[in-house]
Amino acid sequence: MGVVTRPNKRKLEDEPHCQEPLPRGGEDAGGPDLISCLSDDILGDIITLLPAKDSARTQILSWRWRPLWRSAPLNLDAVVAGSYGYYHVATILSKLQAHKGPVRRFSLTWHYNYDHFCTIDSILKSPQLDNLQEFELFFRYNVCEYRRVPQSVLRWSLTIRVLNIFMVGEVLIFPMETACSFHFPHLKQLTLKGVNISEGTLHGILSGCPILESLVLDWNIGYRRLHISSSTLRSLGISDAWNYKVGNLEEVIIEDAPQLERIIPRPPKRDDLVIRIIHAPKLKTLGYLSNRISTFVLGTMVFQKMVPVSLANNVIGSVRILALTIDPNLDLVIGFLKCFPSVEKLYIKFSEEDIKNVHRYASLKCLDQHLKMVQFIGYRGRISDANFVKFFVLNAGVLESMKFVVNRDKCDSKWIACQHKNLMLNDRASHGARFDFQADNRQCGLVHMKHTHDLSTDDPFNRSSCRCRDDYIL
Amino acid sequence: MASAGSGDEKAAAAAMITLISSDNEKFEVTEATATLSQTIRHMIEDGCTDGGVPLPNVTSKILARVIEYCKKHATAAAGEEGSSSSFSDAAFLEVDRAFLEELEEFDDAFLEVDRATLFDLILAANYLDIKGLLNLTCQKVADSVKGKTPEQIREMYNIVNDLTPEEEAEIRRETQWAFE
Repeated sequence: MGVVTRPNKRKLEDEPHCQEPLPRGGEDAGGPDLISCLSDDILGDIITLLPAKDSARTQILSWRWRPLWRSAPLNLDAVVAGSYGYYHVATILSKLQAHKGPVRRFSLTWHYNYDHFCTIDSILKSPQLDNLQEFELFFRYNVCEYRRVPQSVLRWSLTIRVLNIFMVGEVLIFPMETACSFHFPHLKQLTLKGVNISEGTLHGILSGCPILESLVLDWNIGYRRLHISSSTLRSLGISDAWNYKVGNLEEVIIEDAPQLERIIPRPPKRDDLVIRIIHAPKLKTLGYLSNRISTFVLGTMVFQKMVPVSLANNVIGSVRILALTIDPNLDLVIGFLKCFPSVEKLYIKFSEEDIKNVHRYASLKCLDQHLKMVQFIGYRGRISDANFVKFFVLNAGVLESMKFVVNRDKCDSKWIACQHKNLMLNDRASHGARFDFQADNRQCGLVHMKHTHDLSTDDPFNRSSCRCRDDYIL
Repeated sequence: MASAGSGDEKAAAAAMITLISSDNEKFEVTEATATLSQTIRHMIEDGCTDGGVPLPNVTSKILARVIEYCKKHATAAAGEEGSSSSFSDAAFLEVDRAFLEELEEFDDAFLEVDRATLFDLILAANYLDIKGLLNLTCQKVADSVKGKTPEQIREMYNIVNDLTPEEEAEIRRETQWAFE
């Protein structure tokens, strides 16, 4: 920028409460109150971006701040749980009444008897929620028969941007068949988990979402086939439900999804799920694939129970991040790396079984040119595990990092030294590679829904900085 | 002349707009860059930009930063328009993705400024009605406040507490849940 910076004299006469000139960089030492120079509208914008408690506390900063929170749209998180349920509901009502302004986001966690759920439906009908943009419902309670998702979710169809319904334990019935006549012109993110919804209603809703970017459908019943064609969808998480004989998901067809970057199929509970991806040229992130997916079709490539059955030199060059849950059969993994030669990050979740057919050296385009990071989840350090991993140590020529999430309480230095020897790290193909061992016997080869929806990162499998609640993994 | 756009040959062919800062610096920018500001877009539509656009609320230092932001994001907007017609071209998509990442990095680096500059950028973004820049800068302020006590926030931003103890007690009583 060919710009000469001069000592400048500020002119902000249009803005309230400002003194001049303002010292630069000295704001920590009793300088002027810069933040109060901002107009009420801007301060309102900032307050709206804060969680409910933080935003309400801004009232007490000063006289100037006191009225702002009440008119700024509210970002409300609430939990109704246990024997204090009634008290929690009363608190939500008092928050809404104290605030008076509109609510931008409402996240409700309900771990309480469903018999009181009608209370929540009446809260959801309150006028402060008229133009709600984000709604999340986490519902967990053992109910003996099917109950309904609050009717109100459909009344926000014109303003809602994010709609997440999570039911754990049982299944909620999605409100009404008329749902497919609604349009959701601003909806970008949708989760339905643990919902009973008919095939017609589900497809009707999806066709009413013209800008949907991220979709998670998991543990739902009521539809056998899921058919997706979307010009905007970028991320998809899918799977079936447990042990429901009627209306369990059997087939997913992704017909045309030109923007789809990631498909996250949670390992199905049953073993008859078929996934067919016909056109998804941007697909970059895939997994965890497991042998519980009976048939997986990607373009002209067909895997049955993880075994490629139509080779014909098919390769998918767009996939960069691949996650596999498999019996540790090295031939299978090599088969995958041949089909996906551009993979840069590979996640492998070990099963309990011993490893089969160990190779020492192989030349694969993926290993020679692309694979930079491998992570093994559920590594135990047995000789057969080490022999399996050794294949990557000895052949991955451009590897930068290898991580082991170890199924132990701790990894002491003696154990690590022993692993270094068994893995032949001195003979590694890539001299710059780092090797990290991390003890964690809880981590599973699953992806949290929050990460499935998070489009700001390419890699939803990386859980190194994840503090998500495990209820909502996919 | 201090010019933000004159080195760009492609831009020279496009329509140019002159922006004039409060301290009388002139900045020549492309129309695509300038119209990220809704305020300037309306002036262009009304034909009020001959002889330059005076921006009496924005200093040259801040205007230079704002133009830097707009130039980067105007290129991004142009890229998006192009992408819809050729999204099946894998090579193009790679570039597109890389550019989006670059844009995020640019935004992060752009926010590495002292607090006074950050507030000046907010004021300028608001005055010029540049939605992306306003969101970006307000989010930065919100992040800095999140999880802090009122005392910490007052100290951080030199906010003088002019509420009486009775008023404070009243607020705490009205919104007790926020102070638990």
